[in-house]
Amino acid sequence: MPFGKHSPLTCLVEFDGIIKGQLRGNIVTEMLKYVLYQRQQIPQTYEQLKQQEQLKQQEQSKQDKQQEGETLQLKRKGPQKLQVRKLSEALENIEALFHNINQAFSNVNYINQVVITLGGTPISPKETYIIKLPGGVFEGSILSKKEVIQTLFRTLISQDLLGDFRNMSTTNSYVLLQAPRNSEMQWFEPKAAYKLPNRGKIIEVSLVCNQGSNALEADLTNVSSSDFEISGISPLEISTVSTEGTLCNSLNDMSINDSSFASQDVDKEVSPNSPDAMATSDVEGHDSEFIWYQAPVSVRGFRDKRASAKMSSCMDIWA
Amino acid sequence: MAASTCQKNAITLKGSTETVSEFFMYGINSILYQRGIYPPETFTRVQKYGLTVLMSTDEKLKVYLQQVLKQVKDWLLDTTLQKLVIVIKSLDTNEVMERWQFNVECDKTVKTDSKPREKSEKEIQKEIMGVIRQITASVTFLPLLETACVFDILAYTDKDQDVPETWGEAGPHFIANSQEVRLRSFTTTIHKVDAMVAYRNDD
Amino acid sequence: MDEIGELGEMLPVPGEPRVLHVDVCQDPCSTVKAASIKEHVKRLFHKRECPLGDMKLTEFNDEFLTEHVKCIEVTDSEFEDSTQSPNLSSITVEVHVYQVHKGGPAQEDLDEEEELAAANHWLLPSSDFQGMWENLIFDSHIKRELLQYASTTLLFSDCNVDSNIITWNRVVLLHGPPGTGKTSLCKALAQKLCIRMSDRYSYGQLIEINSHSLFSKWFSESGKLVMKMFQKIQELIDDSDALVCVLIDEVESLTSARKSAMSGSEPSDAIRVVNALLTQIDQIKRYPNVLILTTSNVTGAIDLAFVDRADIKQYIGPPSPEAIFKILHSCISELMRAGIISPPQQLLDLKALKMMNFVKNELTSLSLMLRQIAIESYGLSGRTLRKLPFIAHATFLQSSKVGLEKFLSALDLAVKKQFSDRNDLEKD
Repeated sequence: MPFGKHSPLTCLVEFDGIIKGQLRGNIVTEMLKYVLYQRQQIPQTYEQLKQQEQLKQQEQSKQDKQQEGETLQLKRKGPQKLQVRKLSEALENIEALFHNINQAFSNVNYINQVVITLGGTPISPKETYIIKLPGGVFEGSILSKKEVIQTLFRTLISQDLLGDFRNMSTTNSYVLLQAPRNSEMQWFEPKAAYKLPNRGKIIEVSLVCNQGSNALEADLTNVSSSDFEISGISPLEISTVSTEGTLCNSLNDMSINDSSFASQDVDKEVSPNSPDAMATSDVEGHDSEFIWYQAPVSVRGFRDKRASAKMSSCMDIWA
Repeated sequence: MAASTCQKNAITLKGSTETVSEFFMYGINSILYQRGIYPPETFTRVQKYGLTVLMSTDEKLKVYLQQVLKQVKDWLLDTTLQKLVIVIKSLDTNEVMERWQFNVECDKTVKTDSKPREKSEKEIQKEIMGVIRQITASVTFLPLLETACVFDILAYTDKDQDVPETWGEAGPHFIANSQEVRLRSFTTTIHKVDAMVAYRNDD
Repeated sequence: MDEIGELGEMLPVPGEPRVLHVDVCQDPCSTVKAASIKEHVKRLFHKRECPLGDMKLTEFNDEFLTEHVKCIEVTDSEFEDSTQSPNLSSITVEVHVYQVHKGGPAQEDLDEEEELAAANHWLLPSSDFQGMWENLIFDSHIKRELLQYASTTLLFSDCNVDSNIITWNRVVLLHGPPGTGKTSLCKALAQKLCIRMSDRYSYGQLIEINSHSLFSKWFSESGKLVMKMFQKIQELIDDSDALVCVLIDEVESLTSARKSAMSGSEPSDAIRVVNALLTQIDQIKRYPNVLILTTSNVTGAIDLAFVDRADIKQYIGPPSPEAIFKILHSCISELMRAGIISPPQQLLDLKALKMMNFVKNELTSLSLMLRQIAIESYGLSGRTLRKLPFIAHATFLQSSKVGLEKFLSALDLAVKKQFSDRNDLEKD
């Protein structure tokens, strides 16, 4: 049932320290890379594609020096052109997104949520990834980029939320940021009427900075109350995976003697982040000052058709 | 669509062995590419499991892996393989940096029991795809390997196995102060493979 | 409930103050609320800083409007044809503020694995359809009537009028010869409706289904595709904030499918697909936020079962001389803007010519010449007419700048050539 109604899959990622400024943008760009690759919108990871692009450019400039004219070379280029163009177009758009996401985070302080949608339009997507960024600026040790990214993906990959999703055809990926109406957002276009989709698959990743009991005394006035987690008063959960099919068993299967991993308790209680709590925050009212801004560029997914052509020769080698 | 996923194939021990050793081949190549053990330009893209996987073109490496996997195949056929571990060590200090472990559970009844085991090819491929995809995505949380590294392949088998000459008895190559992340698993109904990566926790 | 009140005001009620619809395109980067823009625009009208007929403003004295508004437009106002200037006090100015969605159509891949593209999908208002409505020229107030019809439909639905007592469908059928702009009119209508209803529906969806390709390409898969497509459409409908327009092109292919099924020459799949489609249409037309727009190139030969479902069956024929005059007039204005016809000269419109009783003098001679060309062109399709200025330039002129009179002569030759070409074709 590709289009049915699903309750959101949620994932709570906790950080022992605070995440400052630019790092929030890094989280978003890394998540985008992850989603694009895991959901088959790009055939290889972004880094791999970049690396190959660079290798190819070096090769190209070598070839250019060596004189053109070999007909064999020309022949190979023909049918591959479309592939190359799709690749460079996708890379260009991804880079534009990265650049502007980072710009947005350095210009606008209160981006509290980010949405990545996969599907024809951002209003009726097949999959929606909601990234709830940690709210509030508290006292605490400042985390490095390495710490943040490693924690985030270790949690995501261990929980394996996307594991049992069916294959995704190539489609459009859109990025939206939620920020105050009066913010100095650039490049991103305001979509005041945008609502989070409630159809298709919804994956909610909540990032929480743990501050212990100090959190309660922190200054809350800067942020809208709906978008941040008061983690000090609710039990700390590592996962609140909705019980759908086999999606939630990866944690329970884990043997406890993997001490380094299982140091956190697994708790099945409903988090403060449940879909209901989220829904109310989007109702016009106390949160109405926050609106969505959509990136004017989307990433059109593509498949790697070049690789398959080479497959037979390679299989010979490996047979 | 429904029709194709329902097509069950009878799984044989031989077929299962092929599938698993093929997975090791693609998996190990992925790890070596991913972790930069060999230069990226010595890899070529191959379409497999509905994914683009990178395979080495380094002749020496290919020969080495073929030898290893030939032996692994024998153990899989015997249902005596317990785990296959890829150890990544610093070239200078010989210190273990990363340990990619694939635990193998063999259904030993397969030799005596002739009841047919069924699972669609497509489903197995999909599960394997999930594992490879996770291996690839693991770069996002693994610490950067800052020094030049080499790799080793360790196999754990049931006791009393004759160790071939090319395989030496080795220590376990554990990592001090390690962090582990369990990855996905797949099963052919005869062999179940669990993947896991352990790495040095520098923080 | 507030919105419904505003919807009601859209319908012209005799004796009541008349409504002037003003469509305001907000800058895509502006974040001010629609209410503030409305206020500023209303002020503009109360200060009588703009005319009350059809117009398009892109520059403003008001700094606020300059910053936040791209253009203000009045189209198809009721005052367009009346000669006396209306009294402002008898007019309600209704302001509709909208922002366009960029990015062309999204293809809906219905099959997860094989990526069959069976429909195009736009978010409305879309930048793709900007200016389309204004540039579609039809006779006898077709556009206004369609807009009013659609508005009434949506009003009745939105107010929960019992459809067992008063019957109405949410299906529009435009039929007529090819090239008359039926499909464009459907798209433009959907766009205009979304703009006019922006207070009621926060956005619109346009799904364009080409029934011809649905039936020919994926014949054996058609039944499954139809189901999937409508499953997707149903999902869009479930969002009551969305106005969902479903455009089904070339519905005559349904008829032929059914006919051939009956004559036994095609597998019975065909009839099942047609029936599935009709059933699905019946399903979705029950929802208040749905409008089904259909076109057919064949008049009179459309599936009866389908015709019964349509409330408005509008014939779109080749344009009348009056419409042709407008079309050519707009083409010439465009060429003047581009500097190809130079120096720019004023061409009167028909209303003005009529007021002067079509008497030829220095002021009217070129306009009358265009009128003569328009009369001669009668019988050509809208699509052909819009090509004429290009053909005129390519075949008879070729210089980068040309005077209006010379251009009109070339246009006249181009028209004659069209007819002689057509005769040649008929001889063959």
